[in-house]
Amino acid sequence: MRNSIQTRLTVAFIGLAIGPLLIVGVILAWQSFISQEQQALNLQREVARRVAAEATTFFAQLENELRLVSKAQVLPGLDQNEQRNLLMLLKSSHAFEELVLLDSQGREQIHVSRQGHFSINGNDYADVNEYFVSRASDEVYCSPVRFDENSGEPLMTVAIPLLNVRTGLVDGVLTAVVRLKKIWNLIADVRVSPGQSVYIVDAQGKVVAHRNPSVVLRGITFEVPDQVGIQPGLTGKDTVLAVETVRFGQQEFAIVAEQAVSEALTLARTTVLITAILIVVTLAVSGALGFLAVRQIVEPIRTMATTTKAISAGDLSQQVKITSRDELGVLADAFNSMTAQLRILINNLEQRVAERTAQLEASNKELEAFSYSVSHDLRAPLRHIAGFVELLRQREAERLDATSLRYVHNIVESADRMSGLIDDLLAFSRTGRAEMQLRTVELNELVQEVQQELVPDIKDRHMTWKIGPLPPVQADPALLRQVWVNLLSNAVKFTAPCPQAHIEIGMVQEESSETEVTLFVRDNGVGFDPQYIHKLFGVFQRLHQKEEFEGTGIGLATVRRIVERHGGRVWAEGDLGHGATFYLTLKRA
Amino acid sequence: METREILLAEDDPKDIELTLTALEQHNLANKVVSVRDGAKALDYLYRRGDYSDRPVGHPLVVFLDLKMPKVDGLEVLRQVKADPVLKTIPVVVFTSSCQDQDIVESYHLGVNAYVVKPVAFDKFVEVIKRLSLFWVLTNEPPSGAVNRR
Repeated sequence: MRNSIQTRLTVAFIGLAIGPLLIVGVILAWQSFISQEQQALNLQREVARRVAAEATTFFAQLENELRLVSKAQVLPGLDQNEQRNLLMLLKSSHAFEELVLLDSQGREQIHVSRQGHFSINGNDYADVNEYFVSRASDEVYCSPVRFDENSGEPLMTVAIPLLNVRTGLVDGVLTAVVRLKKIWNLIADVRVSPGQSVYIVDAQGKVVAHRNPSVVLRGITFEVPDQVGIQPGLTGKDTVLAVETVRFGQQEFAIVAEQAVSEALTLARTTVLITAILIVVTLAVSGALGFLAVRQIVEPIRTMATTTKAISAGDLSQQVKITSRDELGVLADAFNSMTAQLRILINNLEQRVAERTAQLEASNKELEAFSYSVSHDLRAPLRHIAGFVELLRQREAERLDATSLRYVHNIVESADRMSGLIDDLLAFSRTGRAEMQLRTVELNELVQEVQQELVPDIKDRHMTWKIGPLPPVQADPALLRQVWVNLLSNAVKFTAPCPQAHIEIGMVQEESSETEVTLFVRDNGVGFDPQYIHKLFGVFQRLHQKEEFEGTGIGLATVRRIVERHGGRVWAEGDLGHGATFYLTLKRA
Repeated sequence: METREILLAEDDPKDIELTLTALEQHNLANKVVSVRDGAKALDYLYRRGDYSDRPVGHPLVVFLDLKMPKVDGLEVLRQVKADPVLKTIPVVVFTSSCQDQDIVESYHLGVNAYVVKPVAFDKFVEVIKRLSLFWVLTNEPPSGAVNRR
């Protein structure tokens, strides 16, 4: 069954359960995704910030130490030994690779290196950035990061101008090559989650610090994105990425903390997965529950439908077997009591029909017996009257005068007439009782036949017949023949006074339908007085004097009875002296 | 042939009289043996009771009324036509009844002819004349079949 209640209810049920769940699930998943992303970003930002802070501290310390030395002011004025000692001390206390003291002309005063190298070779540094930048700007100068050729460690040159307190002029520059290993260590010490990495990119895009030194040594570059969030990371894969910028002198560094999206949003993905699983499970469970619930509702309705079908097919013994104590149970109870009532009613009805049928059969039998008696017993005395009167007439022929002979004649004629009445009455009662055997009757043929049978009676008359095309009808052939015999013989009879008789038989097209035909017999005979039209089809009703037209007055009654037994109607139109038209309806074949 | 007669089974004396009168007009009345009910008719045919000493031989034809006391015409017809010896006797049902069921039943039982008595006397006489002319003079009966036996 398409569009069954079960299907529709199930779909509605599941739709109602799943729709909101799906929306809630999507919102939850989306929210969790967003917050996870934010959290991951915050985490990266935190890491970057911490590293930045520590790096800043490191550089600040570095600068402070160098400034401390420079603030001593006396540095250029110390003798070489003292200067050397001081520098040695500085060197030993910090991560300086090498320290160089330059005079105001950029000539090397002292050069101390980590390997214990010590020289005063008077190299000219006047063209070197560190010197003239810091000298000119009177500011600390930081060089770009470079790497030691031997150890591969990152190095940076920091230069601090030495101000002469008295003159207020720069009369020297202290440059230090700083080992940035400390920064590396800093990064290496950051506790990272899986997929996370922290690195530092310089202004040129070169990675200068990374947990994995080989990344740095391979000289990998990275273009730091303008925005944080989900961005392509160092390896090109999508990462949650945060940047913190740190400045050392002229150098700007970007401290980048990133975590692969796949790792950072694991929880979000898990949430989405769990939500999806939950939705699927809920779908399955609620679907199954919905199906079961709907079936529990629909099944009784179906049972009832099946039972109703059986009942409408005539099996009233069917009962709806629903025992649930809900509305459907009530309905089923009502239904069962209704069919029970119906059963009783029908039984009563059947009983009454049987009784009536028995009564009818009995009275039919009585009627048959009666008509048998009439036909047999009523006719015998009539025959005797007729016979003995005739014998009397023959015997007393010479002695009877004209009046007596007329009496005898009247007696004979009356007996004869009564015999005709009895015959017609019997025929009439037979038309009402005889079993009808319906079949297709070719009306054209039947009417032609009946008309031909009448020809011997009218051979001396001037008559024209018009028999229009007639359709086949559904009727009992013998009874229908009687109808046409009566109608046509009536037409012949009542046109007798006409010098030129016209009789027309046809079909009234306008009053015929697909199932029924209206036929007519029209004559130009004596017609009838319309005010007695209601008597026309009555038994023994005559609208003309016996002397004018013979007959018992039962022909049209028989016609009506037969046509009505076929489910049709008869009626007539006419006027005295202007002919008559008789109509009848019959079922089409 | 002289010994063979017409058996008229008819309960109504008036009908008998009319029938005989009609037959008289054709000089056949002296050949008629009339019985007043079906039982008598069977007695005659089986040569028993009142007719136990009648000469051997079948009637030429039986004119049988249907409505008779004791044993009705249809029963007589049934017995005659069921009897291997009697069934060759021509039986004409001659009755007032023109009921279909009587006609059909009679033919089922093997009647040789079914004639309705007309009410008008002239027609009655005419029918009697035709019947007797046909069955007595025209028709060839199975003569002496029983006699030879």
